[in-house]
Amino acid sequence: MTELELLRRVGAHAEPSPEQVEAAAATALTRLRAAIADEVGSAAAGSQQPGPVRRWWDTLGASPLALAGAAAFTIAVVAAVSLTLTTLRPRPATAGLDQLAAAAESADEPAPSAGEFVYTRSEVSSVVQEVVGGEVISFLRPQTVERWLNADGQLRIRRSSGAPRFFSADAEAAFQAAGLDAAYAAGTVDDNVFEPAQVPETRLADWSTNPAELREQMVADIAPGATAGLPRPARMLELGTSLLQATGASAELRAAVLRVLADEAGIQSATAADGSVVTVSVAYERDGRGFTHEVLFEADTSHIVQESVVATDDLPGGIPAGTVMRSRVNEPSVRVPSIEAPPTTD
Amino acid sequence: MERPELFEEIFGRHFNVIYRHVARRVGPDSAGDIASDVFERAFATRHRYKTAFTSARPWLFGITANLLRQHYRKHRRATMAHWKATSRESWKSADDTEAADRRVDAEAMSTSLSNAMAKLRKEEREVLLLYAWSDQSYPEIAASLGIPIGTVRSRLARARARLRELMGDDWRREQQGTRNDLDGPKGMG
Repeated sequence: MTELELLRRVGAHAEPSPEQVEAAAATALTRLRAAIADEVGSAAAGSQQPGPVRRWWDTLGASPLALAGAAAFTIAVVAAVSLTLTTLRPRPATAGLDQLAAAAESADEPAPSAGEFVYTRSEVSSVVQEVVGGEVISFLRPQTVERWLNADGQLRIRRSSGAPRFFSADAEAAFQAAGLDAAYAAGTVDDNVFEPAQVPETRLADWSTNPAELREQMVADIAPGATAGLPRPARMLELGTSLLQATGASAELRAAVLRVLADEAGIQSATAADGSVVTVSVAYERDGRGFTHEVLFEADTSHIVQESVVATDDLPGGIPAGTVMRSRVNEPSVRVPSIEAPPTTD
Repeated sequence: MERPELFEEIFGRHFNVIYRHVARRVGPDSAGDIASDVFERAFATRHRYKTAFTSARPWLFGITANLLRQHYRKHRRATMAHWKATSRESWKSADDTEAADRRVDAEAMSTSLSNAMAKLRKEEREVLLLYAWSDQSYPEIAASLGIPIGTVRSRLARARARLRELMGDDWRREQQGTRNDLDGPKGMG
């Protein structure tokens, strides 16, 4: 036996089980998707929402910069809207999405002036799974994602992790009993500044603004990739949401995306009774378990204020039905005088 | 690489091999987070990816190497404990087929191996483990670590020689035992 064979013998014994690989991949993919959605989405939100924007929660009295309060308030309003929507029959996707497309076409938002940065803040959360002693323990990992973006494309992204939220006291106890830190990554901050040349581009010019042509492009695009196992409406909504939030997406492209989604069978939309919010959703199954992907739009601007994926069945790892697997709540954008400046409260 | 949403395809192709490599190095409990960090960092820095590479794998292994170095700095004791435990277990698993004296030697070998690995220069250990555990070729290892192929060869040769030297008597005993095993069936016939 050579020293290499000796090492390989040890390495083979340290090979993780297929279950461990699967659990790790599921968690990592969730985190990666959240990172993709955050980076693309909020950067886009910054470029497209350069100033304080009237939000649907403004009409209900919430301060746009009371961040924690706004997040909680958003949840409350979402719950209220959900209740309202239960009284409505879901309309064909066309109605609400056509309304949003018209709003997108009429959007007129100037870029930030020289020296100004558009500051956006999102509260995101995703399910993380850790293998502890052969058992999968799941918990929610909340993060605050902040962005500063100027007209030249310079971008700062700061991601701050909050305390994990376990689904049960038993799960938290097992996590700690295994010697793992129950605080997980709480308190860690990842802060990066991207110069204009480094800001991710999505080659938006390659996408047609003609809805018929765009539909063909989107259908071709969703064929490969990690979402290939999902039904077509779910994949179309994933891609469409990504495009809608992409950095520099034009009003014409955003309108075309919304019209494509409007014609996609399986995607539902509903408008709140007061007309302020349009909810676009798709229900689907993955590996025999149900999920709902829901996107809330501000009706008069077509901007996305919240996105979530909810499990509608119990999942392995102690994840109960109703768990929000991934979510993002976008706060209103404000302008700040420098890339270092935190937003001021009014 | 310019389309963020397509980064999932990179993930689908390479996650398992990265995760398995990290799990061997630090154990499955820590590996999930590190492997996940590899892809999040790769996504955040994808503008640095050199499209001249035909595969993203060396680039991802390069990020992995950096994150593992950070992990070792913070968790050196835990990593060494994982190493020793893994090495010991790998020999115990052969209990049914190996003679008692070989098992005793095997225990000594496992301790000797983990101690010797810990004494290698980190650059040499990195190349050795990438070669032994990730099935990467010399050019891929060179691309992962950003070093010339000749340096990969020389570091690997030095690492192997140093490993043999550090393991000393244990290594010679193992070599003798291997030869005895090979001779055994012939003698019995």
